Amino acid sequence: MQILGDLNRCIGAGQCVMLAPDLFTQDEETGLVVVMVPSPTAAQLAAAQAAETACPALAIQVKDIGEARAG
Amino acid sequence: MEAIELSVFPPLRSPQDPLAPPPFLRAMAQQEKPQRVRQWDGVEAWVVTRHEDAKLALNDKRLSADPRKPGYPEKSEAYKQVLGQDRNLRTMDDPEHSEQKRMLARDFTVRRVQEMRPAIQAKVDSLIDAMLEKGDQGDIVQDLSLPVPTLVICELLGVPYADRDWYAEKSQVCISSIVPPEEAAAAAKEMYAYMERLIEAKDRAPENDLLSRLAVDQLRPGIIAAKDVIELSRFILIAGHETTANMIGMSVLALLQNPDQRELVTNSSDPKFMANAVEEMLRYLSIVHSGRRRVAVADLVIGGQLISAGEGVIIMNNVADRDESVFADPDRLDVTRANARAHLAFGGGAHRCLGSFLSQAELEIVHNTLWKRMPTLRLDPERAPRFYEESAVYGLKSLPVRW
Repeated sequence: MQILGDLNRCIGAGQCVMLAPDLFTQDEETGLVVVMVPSPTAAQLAAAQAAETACPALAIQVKDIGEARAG
Repeated sequence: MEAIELSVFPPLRSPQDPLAPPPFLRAMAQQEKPQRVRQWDGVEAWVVTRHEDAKLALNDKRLSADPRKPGYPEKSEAYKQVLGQDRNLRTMDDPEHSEQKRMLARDFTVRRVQEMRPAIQAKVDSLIDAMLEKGDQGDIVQDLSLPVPTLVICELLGVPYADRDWYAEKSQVCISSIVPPEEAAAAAKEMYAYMERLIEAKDRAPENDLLSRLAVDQLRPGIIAAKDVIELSRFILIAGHETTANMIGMSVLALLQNPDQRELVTNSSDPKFMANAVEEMLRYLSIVHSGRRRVAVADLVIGGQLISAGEGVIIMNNVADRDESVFADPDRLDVTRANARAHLAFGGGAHRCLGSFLSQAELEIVHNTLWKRMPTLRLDPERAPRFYEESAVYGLKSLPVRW
């Protein structure tokens, strides 16, 4: 499973950072998402999925690589 | 579909349950699809009340936030003439909106807010000290809920705290839904002149605050016009304290009315617990209550209803926050609610509130401190709370208490 952060959608709301600070941070300059752990372990998956659900801009995807949304 | 006439919007709340959204809108939420209303100026709009629909609508790029577009359902005549004329991130679509938001985002990150926490805590501590020193009765609004966010937004922006009474008053006029437009325009103009002088001063002698950064990084190189910088600053000032001030007051009232929840909050010092409790207060109160205003720029379907290009949409995020299909027993304040975080009190999508962390930090600190330090705090039996109904942000004019 891969974590993808879509910088075109991200608005720097930081919900992902709040929920999974081991996986996400915000760029100091832009406030936008930085995916620190693109390939989460099984133990980290729940947190990644919580971030995906919580993102108000629908900017986080947790997918098998082949499934990722186009564009 | 025949449009429902709703010249007063939002409709009045129930006096028996003033913390809940108006019964009329909750009844609309029982309908399967968004309902069409005709608002005060004859503009018709689709009212979205279900959580799932609201969340999707807030993320749909076919809905424009630009009040200049025909069919945009503006809140009031005052908004039409005054705040709706501003060109800033609130009233822009992407890509301009994102450009402006990103310019500001670094001042509002999780990390920046964490850095502010000690100062916020110190302020809350000293305000409670002052309450305890002065006697056994007071007003939460004057004594706590207005000063806290005012101080915070002042320091963030670099606005003199000494002027707070003046711009608090002007801000309220700007977002009122009942003042005559001329009065709103006059208040906005005064705030404009004030911000203009302030930004000029920052340009001459920059300090470590947001206004200085706007002056040096955006105004000086001519990236953003002076007028836009000033209007943006004015907007942040208004948005930064009206909202959080009302949330502090209303959430204190909500816990006074729900002693079981108050007890849970009083007995916890766990930051995660407190954070979730604040999320639930935001959901339950969802005080920004006049709806997120949009106009469709292409046909789209929301909740099974076709919305054509050029039609207005009003997204009632506060009604969505009481959607029983998402929040079980939605009228119950439950600080342990597992999905409280799913609320739309800060909106959603691209325009979601930039200051949400800041607001949450202030609320967490207030609730982690107040109940522990004032365990006998109670409503004043002789003076009832007074509400601020006619504003884009619901709140309290006064919350008399004793301890």
